[in-house]
Amino acid sequence: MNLQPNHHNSFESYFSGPLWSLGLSQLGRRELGAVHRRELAGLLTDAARCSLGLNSSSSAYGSLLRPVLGGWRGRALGVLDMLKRDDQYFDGQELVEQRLGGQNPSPELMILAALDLWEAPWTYLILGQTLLARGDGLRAKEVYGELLRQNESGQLSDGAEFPWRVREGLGAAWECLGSDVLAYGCMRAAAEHRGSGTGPLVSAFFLGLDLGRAREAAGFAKALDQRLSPHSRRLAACAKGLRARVDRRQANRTEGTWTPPAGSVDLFRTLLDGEGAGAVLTRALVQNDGGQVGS
Amino acid sequence: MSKNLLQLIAPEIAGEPEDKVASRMRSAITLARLLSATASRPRVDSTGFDLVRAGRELDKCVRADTLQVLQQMFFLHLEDRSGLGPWQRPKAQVTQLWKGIVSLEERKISLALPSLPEPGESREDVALRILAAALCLGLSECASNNWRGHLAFTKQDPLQAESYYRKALEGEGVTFDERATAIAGVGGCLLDRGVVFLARDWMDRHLDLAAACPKLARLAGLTSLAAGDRSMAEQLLRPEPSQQLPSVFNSLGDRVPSVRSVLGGSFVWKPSEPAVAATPRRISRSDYGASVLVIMCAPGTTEECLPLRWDLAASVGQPTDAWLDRQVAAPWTAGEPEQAIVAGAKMHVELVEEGKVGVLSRSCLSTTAKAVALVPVTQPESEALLGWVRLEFEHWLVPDPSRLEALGRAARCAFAGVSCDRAKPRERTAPYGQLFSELMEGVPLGRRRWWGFVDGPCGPEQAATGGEALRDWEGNPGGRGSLNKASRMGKLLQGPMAYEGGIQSMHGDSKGGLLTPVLGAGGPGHPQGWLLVESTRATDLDRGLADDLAKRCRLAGPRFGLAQFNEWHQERYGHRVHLATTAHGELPEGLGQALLESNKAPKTTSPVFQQLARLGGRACGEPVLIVASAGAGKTVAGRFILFCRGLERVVEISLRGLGSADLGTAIRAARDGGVILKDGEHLDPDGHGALDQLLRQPDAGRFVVTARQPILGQAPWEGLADRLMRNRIKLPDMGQRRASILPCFRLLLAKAARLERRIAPELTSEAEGLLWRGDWKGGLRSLSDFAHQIVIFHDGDTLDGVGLARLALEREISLPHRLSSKHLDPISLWSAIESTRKKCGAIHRGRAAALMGWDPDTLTAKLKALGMGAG
Repeated sequence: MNLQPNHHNSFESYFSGPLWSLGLSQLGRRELGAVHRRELAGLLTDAARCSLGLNSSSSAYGSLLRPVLGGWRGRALGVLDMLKRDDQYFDGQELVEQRLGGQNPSPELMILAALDLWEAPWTYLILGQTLLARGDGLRAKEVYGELLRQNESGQLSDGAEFPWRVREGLGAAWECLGSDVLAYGCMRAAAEHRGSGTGPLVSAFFLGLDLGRAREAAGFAKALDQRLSPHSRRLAACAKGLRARVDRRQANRTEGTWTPPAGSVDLFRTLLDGEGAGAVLTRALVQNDGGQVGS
Repeated sequence: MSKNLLQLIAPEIAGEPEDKVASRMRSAITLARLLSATASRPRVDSTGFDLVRAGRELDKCVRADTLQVLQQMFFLHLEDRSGLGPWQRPKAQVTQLWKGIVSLEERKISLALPSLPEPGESREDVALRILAAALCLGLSECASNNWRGHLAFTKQDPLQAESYYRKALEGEGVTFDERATAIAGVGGCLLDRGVVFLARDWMDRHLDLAAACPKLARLAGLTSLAAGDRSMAEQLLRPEPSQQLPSVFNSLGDRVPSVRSVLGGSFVWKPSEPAVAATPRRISRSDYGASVLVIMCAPGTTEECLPLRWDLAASVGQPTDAWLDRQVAAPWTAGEPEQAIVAGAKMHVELVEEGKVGVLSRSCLSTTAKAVALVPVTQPESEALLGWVRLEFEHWLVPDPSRLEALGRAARCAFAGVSCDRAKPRERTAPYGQLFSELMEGVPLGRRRWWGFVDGPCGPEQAATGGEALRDWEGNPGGRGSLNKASRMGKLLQGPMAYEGGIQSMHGDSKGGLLTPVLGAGGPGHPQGWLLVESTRATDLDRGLADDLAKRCRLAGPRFGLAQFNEWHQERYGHRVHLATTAHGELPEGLGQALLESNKAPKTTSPVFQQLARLGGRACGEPVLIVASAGAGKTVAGRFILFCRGLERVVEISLRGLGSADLGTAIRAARDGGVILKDGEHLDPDGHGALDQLLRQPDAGRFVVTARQPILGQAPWEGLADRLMRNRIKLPDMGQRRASILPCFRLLLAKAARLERRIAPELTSEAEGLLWRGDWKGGLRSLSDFAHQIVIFHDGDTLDGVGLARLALEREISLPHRLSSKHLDPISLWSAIESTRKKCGAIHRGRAAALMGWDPDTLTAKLKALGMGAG
């Protein structure tokens, strides 16, 4: 898979080479066209996310998402008006029209059309998330893996958040594929990354506990205590997401309830008796467990 | 019509053959199309090609392509014996790649390309040339460090390789693939060294990258498996049909059946390659990845089964009495593997899965033990059992059987010179005590104390100590941490190391210390010993002292190397030998100039000795040719080279009249020991084929060929010239190194006296002068014969000049009373001065004149004539 950004679509390409000889009116039209393409790509991405029902509170990996932009319908109509006035056609135009007409096109198709219109690193992250939401861990792993390779080689980047979000996505893909060890490695790296969100921290804490890595899990619990207040809404959402996640995992296994392995039972009990964010998350697991370990 | 058109468009090619015309016309049409396409763009007045820029782009493309070809060629020239190397062998044929390079040269592309391999050139040498060419083509710093790491890994130097891989990770602008290669390289090196837990932690730290790189994930899985973490390995290892398993994992599947399912049935079991022989004079548990190493004496060797030496990890601490008692009683306890060793001298390896009980319940490690290996140690000739080595592991990565066998052979030296009281460490005071004392001569001590340690089979052995301060060091010991660290670092430590008091020091009250390694004769390499200086004041150990000690240790290195060789020689051949280790420079064309320079020059290592030591460098795996006249010491030089190469046993075979079959039989008798092939000039043409094969084998480094005259140009040696040309040395005759006559004669006299069970007479200075002036055309042999005759035929405690002259006259040996001063022999004068120099390096005219048979005034006049003046 080639994820190299298409520089022909970037602004810089319009201000170099023989294009300088173009007239101002032509330049304005081209610039406007680029704005429309980007706008349309954003609208398609948002539509895909909405149709998947992904938002930060219900998704297991909510931190991958940027807030959904409001006023989708109005903005989409505005872009279409502009298109009609300039008598221009864009890839993905039909998909927007279908969406405006009340239909729900394939989210994956919408993301791919968005990428075709405007190739942005963030859109790749959302493509991976779309694949994850549809349960396609293998392809999601390939997307995130390639993103990590290019990001590590300095070829693809989009701000300070990008590296840890890629790792978080890769970890989620591996968890989906059943390799908790690799998932934990990615989540731990994401959580240890400067400026990372609480999502990877919660994941690393849970996976560390699940793999019996008590010492490291205790470290993550401590970091969570420092970052989240026990009564915050964010923590409540994290606990809810964690519970849903454990439920999903248990559904694939024969055993009825989740129990910590021998290596982390002591930590689990210590956390249950304590205060703070780590304790709140652990209690969320006990609810799932039916109180067996806690007792 | 078309011809007319052609004449119109291109008149100069109208008469040429049709195919050529068609080809040129196609090019012209393509160019015309490109021009028209560019010119037809709106509002562009003129078009054109930027030739400079196009040339630059072309150059960049050619460089990138060539670099890729070079990379493939480089990887094809590497050999991965352990299967842990981080590179992948390309599928391309090496001949195809070389053809590509040759075609580039033919196209006259001006790049620094490597030339075709020379006949007999080793793979590593070719790879090195390719690396040099790639650097010229702009290979990145990170990639070059990775390549160097691969090369060191191929040469089975994982420590060096690891340092290169780590350096590769430090650079900036490292791509993902390069980073992954370097990480896999470090992990592979750690695993190759047997440091399993460090390897597992290292790979665990890079799990996020392993998630995007199957190669890293596989290595992480293998390290987890070696560390005994099955569940983690199960998640990381995904067997594929074409994957080969590293050789160290070969036996794991057989010994732990449950592991086979984790590795998967589709792994190809790669046959294990012969491992590098363990360095015989040094045994350390860390070389085998073990936490416990104990050498036990067999019941027949001593009165009872005794632990001879032990080397335990810091986490284990000291062995308990109960554990030691169990080891002593093991050969008499039913079911213990030691019984089988005593009965059959066979190796025993046991790996136990978690939850199962086996021999490990009686191990020193108790609950953490995962594997135990017992390696028998037998006598080289009779195969009688001397004892065994017990290794205990906290992981499953037990070394290959071939490597364990090498350990069994290496452990023999621990039994040398050991009698019933073997449990005590060997005393290594002589001659090292004297060497250390001489080394410290003139160093102000005051509040300081020094200790000298020699590298022994199981780590440092104390040889000497001195100084007024810190006296009760045995009653108040420190932690010896610095010495243990230096011993573990081995050849990585090449200069002085400062340390603080307490756990690092020898004495509990010292405030700091300096540890300086004494390097061997061949320069950088494994230290021969260590010098520690500690003081009661931290400020007492400054930079000046460190530099001074480093200089002293550097100069003393060859003498330490020679002392070790003499220890080895005495043990095997019953006598010591003399090799000149130091000199005041070399004798060039003009004697006067040489004398002038040598007065100012400090004493340095003798050039011949330096060459011998370098040829003996352990990394050198090629045979050596020694050419010298009869009695010049070829055999002793050969033994010294083989000793430096770490070969315990040396067999000497004369090539005189040996046919192919005889030679093969003789070499087989030597097994894997060193071989000195003497009388190279008498090689039978029949034996040439067999010898050619031998000297082209990978273990050809254990062969030394000696000859009395240059043989490489002669049949049947012509075909072997390429193997022997690079590593050859010519020893000077006895007449050219008179400085060696007296030390050699003293040793030969002592040897003869011991053999004849008589007392060797003392030589007076006149007798020594006479001996020194002899021409000794027969070399050491004639000296040895004469020494024997003196011992047999001379009665008395001393032998003066008259008695010696009489004995020589009876045996028709010419010993002149004086050397000619009219027809001056510059080499003799140089030797006389060299043999009698004062400690400070100044010329001792009286003694030098006595050796020459002159009066001191003659010598002074001669020196004046040579431009030395009154000095």
